[in-house]
Amino acid sequence: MTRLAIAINKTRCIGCQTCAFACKMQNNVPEGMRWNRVITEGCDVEDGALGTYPNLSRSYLPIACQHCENPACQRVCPTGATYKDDKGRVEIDYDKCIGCRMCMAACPYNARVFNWNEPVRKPDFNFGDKEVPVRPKGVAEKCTLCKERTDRGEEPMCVRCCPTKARTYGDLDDPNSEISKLIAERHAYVLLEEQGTKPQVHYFE
Amino acid sequence: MSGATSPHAGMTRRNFLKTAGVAAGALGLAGAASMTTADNWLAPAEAHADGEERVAHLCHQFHCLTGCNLKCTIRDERVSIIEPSDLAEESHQTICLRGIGEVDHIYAADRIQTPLKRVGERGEGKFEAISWDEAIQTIADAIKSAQEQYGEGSVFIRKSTEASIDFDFFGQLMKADSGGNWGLDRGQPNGTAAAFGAFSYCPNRSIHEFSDASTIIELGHNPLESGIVWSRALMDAKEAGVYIVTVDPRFTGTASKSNEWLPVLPGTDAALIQGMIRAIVDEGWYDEEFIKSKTSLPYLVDRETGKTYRSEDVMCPNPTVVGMLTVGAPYVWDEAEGKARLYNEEGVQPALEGTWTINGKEYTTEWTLLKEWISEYSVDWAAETCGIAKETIIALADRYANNGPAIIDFGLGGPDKYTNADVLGHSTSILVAITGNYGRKGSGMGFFGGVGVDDPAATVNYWTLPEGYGYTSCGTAMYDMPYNENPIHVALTFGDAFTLEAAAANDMLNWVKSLDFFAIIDIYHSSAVDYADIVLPACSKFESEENVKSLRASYGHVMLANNLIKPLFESKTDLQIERLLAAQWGLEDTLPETYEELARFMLDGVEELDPRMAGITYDALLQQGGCMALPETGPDYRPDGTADNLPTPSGKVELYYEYLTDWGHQFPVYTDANEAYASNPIKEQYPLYFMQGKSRYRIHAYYTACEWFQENFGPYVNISPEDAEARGIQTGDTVRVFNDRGEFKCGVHVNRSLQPGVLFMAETTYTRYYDEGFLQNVTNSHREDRQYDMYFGPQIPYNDVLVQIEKA
Amino acid sequence: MTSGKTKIAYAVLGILTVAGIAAWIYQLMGGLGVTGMNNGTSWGLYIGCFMFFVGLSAGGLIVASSASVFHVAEYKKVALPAVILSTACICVAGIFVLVDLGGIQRVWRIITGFNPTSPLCWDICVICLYLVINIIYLVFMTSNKDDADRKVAIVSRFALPVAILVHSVTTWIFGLQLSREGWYSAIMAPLFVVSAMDSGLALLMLVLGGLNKSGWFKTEKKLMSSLAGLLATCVAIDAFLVGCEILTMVYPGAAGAETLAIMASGVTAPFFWAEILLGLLIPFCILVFARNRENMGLVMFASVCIVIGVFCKRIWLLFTSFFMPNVYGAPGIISGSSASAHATGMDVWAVVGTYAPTWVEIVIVIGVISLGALAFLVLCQKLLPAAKTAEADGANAAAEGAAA
Repeated sequence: MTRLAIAINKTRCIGCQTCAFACKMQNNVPEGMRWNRVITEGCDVEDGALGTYPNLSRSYLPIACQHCENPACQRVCPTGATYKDDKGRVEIDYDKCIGCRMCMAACPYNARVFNWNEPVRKPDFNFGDKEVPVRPKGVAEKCTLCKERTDRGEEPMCVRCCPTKARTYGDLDDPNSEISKLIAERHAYVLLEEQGTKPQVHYFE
Repeated sequence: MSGATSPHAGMTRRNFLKTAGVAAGALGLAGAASMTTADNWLAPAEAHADGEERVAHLCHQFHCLTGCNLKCTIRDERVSIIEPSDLAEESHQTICLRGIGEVDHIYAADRIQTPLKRVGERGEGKFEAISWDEAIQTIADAIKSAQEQYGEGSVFIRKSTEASIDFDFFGQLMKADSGGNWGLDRGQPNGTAAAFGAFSYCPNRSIHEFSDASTIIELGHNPLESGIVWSRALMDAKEAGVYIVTVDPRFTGTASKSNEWLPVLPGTDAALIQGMIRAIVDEGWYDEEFIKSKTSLPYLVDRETGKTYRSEDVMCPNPTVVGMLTVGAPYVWDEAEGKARLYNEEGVQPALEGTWTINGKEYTTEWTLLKEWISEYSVDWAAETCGIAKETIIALADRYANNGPAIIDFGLGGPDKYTNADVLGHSTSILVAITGNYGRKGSGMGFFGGVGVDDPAATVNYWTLPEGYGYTSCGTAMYDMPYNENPIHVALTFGDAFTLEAAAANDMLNWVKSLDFFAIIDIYHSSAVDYADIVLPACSKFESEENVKSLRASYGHVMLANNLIKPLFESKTDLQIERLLAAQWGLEDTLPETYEELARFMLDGVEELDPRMAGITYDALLQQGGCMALPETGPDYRPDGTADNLPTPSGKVELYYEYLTDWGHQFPVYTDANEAYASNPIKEQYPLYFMQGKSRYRIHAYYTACEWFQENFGPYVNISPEDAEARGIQTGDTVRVFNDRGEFKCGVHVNRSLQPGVLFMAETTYTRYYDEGFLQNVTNSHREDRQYDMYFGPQIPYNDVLVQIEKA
Repeated sequence: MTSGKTKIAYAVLGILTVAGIAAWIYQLMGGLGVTGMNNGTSWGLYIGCFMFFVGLSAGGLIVASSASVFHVAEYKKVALPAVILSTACICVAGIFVLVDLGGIQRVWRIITGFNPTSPLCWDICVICLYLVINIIYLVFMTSNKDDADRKVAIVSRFALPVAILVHSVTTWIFGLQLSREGWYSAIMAPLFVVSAMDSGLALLMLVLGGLNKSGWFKTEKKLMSSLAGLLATCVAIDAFLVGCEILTMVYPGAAGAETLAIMASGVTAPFFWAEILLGLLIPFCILVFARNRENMGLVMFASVCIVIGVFCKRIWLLFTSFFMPNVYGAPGIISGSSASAHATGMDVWAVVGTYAPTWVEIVIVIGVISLGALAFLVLCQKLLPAAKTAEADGANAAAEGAAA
């Protein structure tokens, strides 16, 4: 078995948004959509802080599809458009998506975005990887773990571009992979564990 | 081109995009204009059409001091993917959001598409499209008539940092005034220049030694948002357990990653450093060995005149570096022989403290004077002035002095933006020197983030113009031109100099309006464009008329931009624009004809000058894809920067600034900032400090046009919850920020990261994105007179500003 | 055949239906971006109405079928209008699901790619089954054959559990989503069934009142009072279950309490309190007294309150759980393109859910309901014996009732 995943070192994450834009570029993500966001946790403004001056803290959290082992989105999808593939990725067959947005209601991470209208692209052409399908209006989309890149044996674009090397990509089912070792050694955790979705994306400090 | 006008003249987005399509078609590039809006309902979601793809490489931004080599995938003649280059040495395969954002930025709606002629009032932003011929002719006529009427010195030409910075020929050909002192981000270097050398703000040890340090003090530096890719070294250090302290009035990203954040009051960093010096002197935590052997502190000074006791016969090794005057070698008191001897005599054992009478004059050491100087500053005073508790200052001094090696990484453009930044730089120099945190592994001082010796430097040739051509100077810096008599009547800028490289914008723009003629060459419709009579469209770094473009030597690599797309719309490369202009004087042949010629010239014969350049030829570069590393480049490159033979007169750290005797600043006398200080009476009217700094979404105003970034960032001011509540301000409101110099209106974020009493706004955004005005309308135009005597001249005090804010 | 008033009613409903269809075509062209929905609040008025109308439908059928199942003879009298109403409402509910789809042209994928773990699939099956049962019910009830009564009795035995199931399954679309604090609760299904009964019954009473006035169908006052008593019981059970749920949410002082704060004093508070007042307190206080149940004016008023109250309940139930993302932080959730977010620049982000229906949604909702009302009127005219012959003076009132 293969379970492809990403582990994110939150200590090294500087909230620079590079991964968010790398993802947007690679995947031809339209205006007003992100498959990958970096949020300032618990704050209502970007680069905000928690606490009271001068005892402040701030942490950045990159958040995208968690490629859950028990994906709530896949469970509720009426047409099987969302599926768990043989490499452990949660993927969407856009041709099957009827746009019911059941998956968006079910995903605890708000990882999905929807083509509410005819996608507007800025710049006005299909940028990004040419193998990435162009999604029509009326379908949901999200991080594919850079399916097209990872199928070619490359690492996802967010991993490739991260300026501080906070991201590690690999196979959770390979105990010798860097990601498996990191998860074990650094006591990695998952987001919203109580949701029971068993994310494959891990975080550690 | 059909219907192409300024984005300002009512062009809608759709219009623009159609035009972009026409441009692509007209140039025979691709029929890719109608790729989107496929209304075909039942069509399956397919991969992109099988467009022709090719790969281009180029060195991206110099301006953020990262110079990443980028790999661009070009499909259907459009830049579709930008990612880290796989040609660079592995640790240099870097990118940040600004590189990626170019995919949109290249095609942004704010691109200037054709040459434009002003039709409205200056500042109104009304233009009509004209031909290149007419535009070039108009500029040449304006320059010629000014030169005839007022002389050569009446023309001002400056290349701002946001246009191409490869070369700078035309201004020199015109013998134009380039505006003298820059006034930007060299406030602390003004204070460190005499001590460690003029360019000592560039560290002499690698940033990768961060992990070898025990303590790093980030002094007003926020690399996490400025030179983003350099923050990898800081994160390595953090993971290696290095203790990181950030001194910043604001809880920056860097502060949030630090072990300790010291929120100094704006403009008071020097008090913190002086408090540390006091604690170190009081507690005896200084490094006597280093002081004696590496610094000027044992040098003898005439008590009465304040002059150093110097030899009349023996000169210093670098006798002219500070004052342009030849200085003799200084004397020290040799404890062994009980007499004054030259500082560098064999076997001399300099006394550190004492007073001696030589030839009837009373001499003492710099160290004695330093102790007298610092005795006037108590740690309590420092604590009160900078707002950091006494115990914290002492603990930091202890950590810095006794738990080394330690690094002081100061930001360029943070504390530099106050009028007392030279005092800070000088104080920091003293702190570094008396603790010996310099010239050994894991120690150092300066701006770590691209200007140091992190990588081997390549050798290239520089194109020179024929004898007799060069810039002139009227003696007045550009930023002083609104205030001082000057001969300038005509201005030409590459990029926006006037709103970026000056504060108090109302003064500057009024002066610009008073000029006979102003032309600008820019890629985007930047803030200054609205004031220009003629606007020429430059192309981005990703575009070139020929296969190649800029050759750059950067971070251990030689990079040749190649395989680029053709210039969009009617834009041209800087080289072709300069050649068109030069041709008006018949001087185009003094310039390279093509980028290829320039690149070939730059590399011609370099391997004879520098054996490390062996094999790095134009053809080899192209064959390799346009990026080759020097042999030493790599993670193990660690030059051994020492504290010996510094570029100071005596080669040692010279902490006593004799050249500032007239100002009484032989040692750094603490002075309040011009406006931003606690007891300033105008605080009654304007109670809030107004700071500006970097955002990850900008390099100054550059990337304002990037629509991707516009979703995340825009012109908004940050305010603390306390100050916001007192004024009924909430996130999402529009606010008016004002003082006697001017005002502006924009959005607001109520942000806990702000120290109460301090506003912060990231510089900067094209003015049209504001609700009204822009941030430089309120900033300070003061010049600190003593800084006219300093290496980098007076600095523009962008942050030395008090304002009031209210809901608009 | 029809009176002037009925003609006017048909004309008005027809125009509204056409307007709704036009708005829907506009939505098909522009995409769901013409609605107020966004990535943060990914379901809106359509799904709220879907929940509401499934409830309205189930209520009618439960009364009708329990009459047959439990041999409550007097209720049998209103079984026919109840089933007609139920049929119309379930069609309306189904249409709301369809107009909410972003890719209706691919809807056949549900059959080819049927995912047995999806509550939406269950719901589609149950709704279809339910519709079929309704139709069979109608056929048998209006049949003149001898064994029609027996067949009605058999169908009613299926109809009752399916009616309960249809609402439970609809609930499970929400109630099984662990990701949404306000939805994930075992009590959700019973709660929905009860509020389906009270709202459905209330609507039935309103309709019966209207039919009475029009003369298409006469219901005895005694029966109305008796139904009002049943209504009061349903309201009481509803209130009890709501109370249980709230106590369970608030007691630990944890996440549930935060959700409760959103509905008690936050964005959905007007709907929450409207439900408590209109849906529970006021009608219960009216209907609990036998004397009030005799007063048809008060009964009708209470019924209107209940219908509105339960609609408010659907709204707060749906939206409260979209308000606060599980992972909170700025800039938040990106809403969609500038056009669909109805905002530009940084305003496309929202740290908490935001939603306001657009005119397109409202016109479509009115259109769909009008279509349902039309269907109801037509079915009544065709199937109700009295209506076939009567001068339908009060058709207008019936239309109003159906559209409430």
